[in-house]
Amino acid sequence: MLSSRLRVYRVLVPSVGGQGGGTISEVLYRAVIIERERIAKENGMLDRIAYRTDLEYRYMIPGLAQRNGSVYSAVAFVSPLEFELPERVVIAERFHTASVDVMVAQELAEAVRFAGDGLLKADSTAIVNEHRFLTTVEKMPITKNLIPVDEQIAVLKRLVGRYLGIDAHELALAHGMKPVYANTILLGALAASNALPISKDSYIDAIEERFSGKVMDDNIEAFKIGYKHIMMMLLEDSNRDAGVMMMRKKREVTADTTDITEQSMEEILSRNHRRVMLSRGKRDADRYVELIKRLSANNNNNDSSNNDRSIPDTLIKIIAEGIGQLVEFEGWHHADRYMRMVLAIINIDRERGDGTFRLSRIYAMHLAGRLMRWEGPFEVARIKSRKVITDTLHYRDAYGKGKDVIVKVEALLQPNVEEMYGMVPKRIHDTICRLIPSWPEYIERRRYDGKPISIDLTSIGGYIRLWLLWKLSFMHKHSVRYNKEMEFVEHFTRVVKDLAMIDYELACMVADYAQYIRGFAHVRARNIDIFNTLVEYVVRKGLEMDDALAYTDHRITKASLRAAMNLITLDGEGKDKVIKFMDELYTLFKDGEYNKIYARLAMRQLVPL
Amino acid sequence: MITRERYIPPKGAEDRIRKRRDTLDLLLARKGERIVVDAPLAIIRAALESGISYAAGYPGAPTADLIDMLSESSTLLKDLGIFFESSTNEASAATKLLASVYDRIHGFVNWKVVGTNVAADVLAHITSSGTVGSAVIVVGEDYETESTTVEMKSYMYGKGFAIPVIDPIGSPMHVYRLAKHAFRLSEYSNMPVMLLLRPMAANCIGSIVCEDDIKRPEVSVKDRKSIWEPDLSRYTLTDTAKLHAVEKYSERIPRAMDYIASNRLNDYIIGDSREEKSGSRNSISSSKGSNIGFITHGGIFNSFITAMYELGRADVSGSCVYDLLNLNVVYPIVPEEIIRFAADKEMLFIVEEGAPFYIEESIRSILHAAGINSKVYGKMSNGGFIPPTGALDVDALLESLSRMLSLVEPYYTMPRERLSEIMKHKERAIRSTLKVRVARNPTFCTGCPERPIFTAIRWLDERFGRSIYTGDSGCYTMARLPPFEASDTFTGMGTSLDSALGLSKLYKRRVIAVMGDGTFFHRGVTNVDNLLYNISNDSDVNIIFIIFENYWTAMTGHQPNPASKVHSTTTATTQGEPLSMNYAGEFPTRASIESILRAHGVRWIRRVNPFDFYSTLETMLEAYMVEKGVRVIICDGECTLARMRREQPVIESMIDKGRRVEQVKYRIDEEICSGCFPCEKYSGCPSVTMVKNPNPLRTGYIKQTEDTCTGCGICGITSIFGLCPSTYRVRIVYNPTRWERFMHRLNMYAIRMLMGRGAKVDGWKVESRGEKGMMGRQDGVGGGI
Repeated sequence: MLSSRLRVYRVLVPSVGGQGGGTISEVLYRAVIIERERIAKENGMLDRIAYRTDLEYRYMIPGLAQRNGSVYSAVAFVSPLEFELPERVVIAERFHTASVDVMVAQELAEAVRFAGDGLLKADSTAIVNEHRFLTTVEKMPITKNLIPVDEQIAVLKRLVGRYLGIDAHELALAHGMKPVYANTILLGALAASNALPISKDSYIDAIEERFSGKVMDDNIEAFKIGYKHIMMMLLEDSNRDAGVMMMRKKREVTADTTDITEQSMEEILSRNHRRVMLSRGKRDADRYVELIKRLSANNNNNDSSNNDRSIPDTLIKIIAEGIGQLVEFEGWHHADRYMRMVLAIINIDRERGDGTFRLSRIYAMHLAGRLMRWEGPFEVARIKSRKVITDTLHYRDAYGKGKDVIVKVEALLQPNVEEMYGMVPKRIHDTICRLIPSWPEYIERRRYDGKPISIDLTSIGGYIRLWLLWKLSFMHKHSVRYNKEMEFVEHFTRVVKDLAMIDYELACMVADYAQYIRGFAHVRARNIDIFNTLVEYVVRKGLEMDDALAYTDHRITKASLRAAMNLITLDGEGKDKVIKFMDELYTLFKDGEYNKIYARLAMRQLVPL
Repeated sequence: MITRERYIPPKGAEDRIRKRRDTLDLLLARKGERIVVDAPLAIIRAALESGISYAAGYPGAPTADLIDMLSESSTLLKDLGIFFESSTNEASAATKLLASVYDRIHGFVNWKVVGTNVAADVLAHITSSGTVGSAVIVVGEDYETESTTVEMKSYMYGKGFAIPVIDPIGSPMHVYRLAKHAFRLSEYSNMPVMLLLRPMAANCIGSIVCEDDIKRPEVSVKDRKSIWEPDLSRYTLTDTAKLHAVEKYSERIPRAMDYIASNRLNDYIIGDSREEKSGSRNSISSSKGSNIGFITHGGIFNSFITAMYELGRADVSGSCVYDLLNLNVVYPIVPEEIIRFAADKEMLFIVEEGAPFYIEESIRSILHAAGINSKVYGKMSNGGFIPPTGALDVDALLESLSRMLSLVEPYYTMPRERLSEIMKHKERAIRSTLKVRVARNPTFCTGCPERPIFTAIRWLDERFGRSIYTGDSGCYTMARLPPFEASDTFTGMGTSLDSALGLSKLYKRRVIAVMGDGTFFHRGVTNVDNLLYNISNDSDVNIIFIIFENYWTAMTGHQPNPASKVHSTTTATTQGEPLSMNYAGEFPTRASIESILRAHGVRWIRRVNPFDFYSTLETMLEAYMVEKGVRVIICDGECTLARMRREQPVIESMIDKGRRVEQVKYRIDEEICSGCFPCEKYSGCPSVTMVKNPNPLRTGYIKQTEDTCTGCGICGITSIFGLCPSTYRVRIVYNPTRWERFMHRLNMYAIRMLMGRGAKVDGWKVESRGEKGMMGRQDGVGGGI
């Protein structure tokens, strides 16, 4: 019956448009031909394959190449070791489910996509560049985090027989190459993995055939880097006798925050002391030490009275870091205020909490990180003006290797009226308000959207402007803006305290929202506004419903809060969506259609942004 | 005598074998040589072997490569005397076929599937006249909508206009073979012939063995004919057209059928189970017929065989257990072939892709007329085995074929088991990756001149209410996708202004129509007339028409168009006039869109430089404020990708030579960026990525710029969100002048003095990425892999 059961190899190369996936497959295709001719020559069979024209194919679906869309190319070939060749071969076909032997992916998310379509065989080999090129949609929303790289890798490992991960992008940069050479590194990895019956020399010959001049030399070098890297990895793995192979490397886009709890207390103290010392002088540095002493004294006092209610180390570390940042940001009085507020919450935590001090941790972190340390003109002037020299040196190093280079740094600023007015001392503002009652409305209404000012920070004329602003920062704590922000902080604390009395969990959720109060000028104002909406609309109405239905665990409030968080994208529409959603829920509640409420809530929580 | 040495300097034989062979070298290969080509090049090779005198076309995926390759080999074409034209639209290209109508001149034209619609009027006339020489139309068929916006078949034009349609098996070898046949068939049957090239085949590389040397055409640009003796019976007018129609169906089609049958363009594959009995392949022996047969067509032949292989009923060499008829020529279908194949079959399965199903209909009517009572299964009756629409890839075929096979061999469960195995594998993969999948949509390139316009549109619309956006065909179609989502309609090439007219008459809203320069010259010019002719001076239409003049037809891979500029210093510009460039490498005078519009009567025209964002915004605002009539904004910025590819090597060599060069990069200050991200919905730049916030007390991510930044500065204008000072500009001056260096040192010294010890405070440093490469991904195509 059917005679020939040839060994056919199918190699899939998923990539992002413009990265050069097509070229990988082209080189691979050439390598196959070279390998076949070489083996045939060795066996004296060259004439048998010389006029066979359909033993190997390479195709690609360019889609929207160059434009960062999802593209793929593919190579299919009859094993070069086969000599019992039929009259013709039919393999030039779009790959189907469970047909791919080897995947050489240039991007992790693309590898996941093609593996997710089920194209790979269960015993396939996947060589994956673990570098991520983020998509537009991934970069947009604020409340949705990226899918962790580790999770994606774990899923991939389950779907393929052999997984070889390599951060080729970083590897190329580490060897002083352009990121495009990551592709050739992957090809080297493919050669080293031995997944295809093609020898290393054939690949190098194919690269020589495809490129010329310096580009060829660089590509061969990159190929050897990839080859060596995987060889070393395999060697290590075989030494460890591990089943699954991968390169372990610290990645950037994985964890949500830098874990401060991993640092030692001494490290935090010395670092902050140094920073305060350099930027504000010895007096404030001493005050910082004093504040920390007071904090630990406070802890010890409580320690003696109530042993199992002492503040855990992690919380102390967060507070110490927070105090350090705030002393540097504004001065010791600011940090002192912070400490008092945190201690008040810690006391509530002792009474109402479950001993983990979760609420205090969240509160302490966001209060110091976002609420009491926001970027106003003074702060920006301070950061910008002290970074000029380091930046200049940095870029001179990066671009000026062996070249004569000078680097100019230009700041792009657009101080709008709100920001500028925020710097005015409160007393003056109050006086104007007394004289002209409509003043606050007038100033609220005005918003300036003009050209940004670009200041050449590497010229003394430009620099001195920011420098002056920096030196005026002692005025900050008297300014209108400072008072406005502190009012909000008080309000926030009040809300958290009140909620902690009702429901600890709920208080944690609301306190956690503080991390989204970010941005400048009206973006920050809008985010604050959304916080108020969450409290006024979601929490208040939710509690009302919970009370009426006698849910002591406040499940409707929590669910609607989670749903509301899902709706908020902080682009100005989120607020309206939340209000509309809660109104809808409330109407259903009034009508007594409770089942619909649950259904709606369940759906909203599931559906991502 | 055509020899390589005339075009390529000899380097020694061994060198040539090792090095990559360029288009020209491949086209010059000798008879019997094995060359590695992709399908478009195989077609060009076949055409040159057939002695063509002309070639024309309008580029479009999936066959945009074909025109590019012709352009690359323009020296050869010129030397052979082949007239090559880069047409501005498909109708102009189709008109070139006229050369074959009156004389024995061969040639071919090319466009993509929807282009046939544009060329249809011309084709109707050409096909009516019929041709003397061979005329081939290479169509980039794209039923699976890989690169086309609508799912349509060119087959209907074949059937409607009586054009033989060749649908080759998707590999260069078959494409080459059938392309050669296409030229012969056309000449033999006096009809233009359509050759369909699908995305899979058009982007496929394989090897072919050259059957012939390339030929010099009999009539060429160099060797022009002096005698013009037209056969006026070919002239299409009422009286002759009637005769043409008779000739079409009584003479030309039968001749074509004759050619198809006698040259065995369609493949007969006899079931392998009976191979020992019949003994020979590729020859049908109707006497020993089995009772089951499959009929399929070239475009899906490979999928069909692979699916059958998966179900255990075929192997990779193309043999199948059952009898198989593969139609490489889908129109006309030769009744005798079908009857011969079907005569001894009890069951006949027709596997045809997509709707409407012409092949199945034709076969059914042929069988009915011949009185053959085989049971026919396909799309139409008996349960509809094949999905009525959609591309038929292997996955789609597996289910259909296993259902068919279970009808044939009801007691044999292997195909069904195999199918459920595959399905389970797929389900498992889908289920496990559901939560970690990422949707990736294409977006404007880094430094794209179109991005600022959409940023401005978005910003203005947030203040003045949403407009209606009428989109067109080009890079700006991507405005439909996040982050801009600013394209509401799409009605084909060059029609955005027409849509805008209709919508603005019916809706009391501002309508923004966008169009690129390539599209404008393709069909947009006539739109302007249509618009101006149909609105009176006091009409209250509210249209803003934005033309992106980026000098290239960028979407299909930077082909020149009438607005292209010549940048090479080697070309002489006679009187300082800006010149254009065409495919053939000639330099015609450059068309000015502005002058065209003024001449046609548009009064409000502004030209903006998109990279000067604030003046662009001001102009846009001005256009918004007028609120009446037609305002045209020409966005004058070259495609950055094309510019960088050209300029980057020059800049690098200038730096090496010690010339002063200034480069601009934009960066984001990691200490100041607070990670609020509203800026991203105004930009969506691929060079901006995210890293986790380095401040331990802050959660979430902040923005970071990769080194692929081209310094367009659109991320820098995020200050329109209030004070966002996190972006800063870095100017890197290579080889500065002495004065510059002196002033820089002086300034830095003074700054150091002012800064005092504050300078020593280290900020939150994120591990820097991408500092080392100069250009990164942008020049990837020419650089590393």
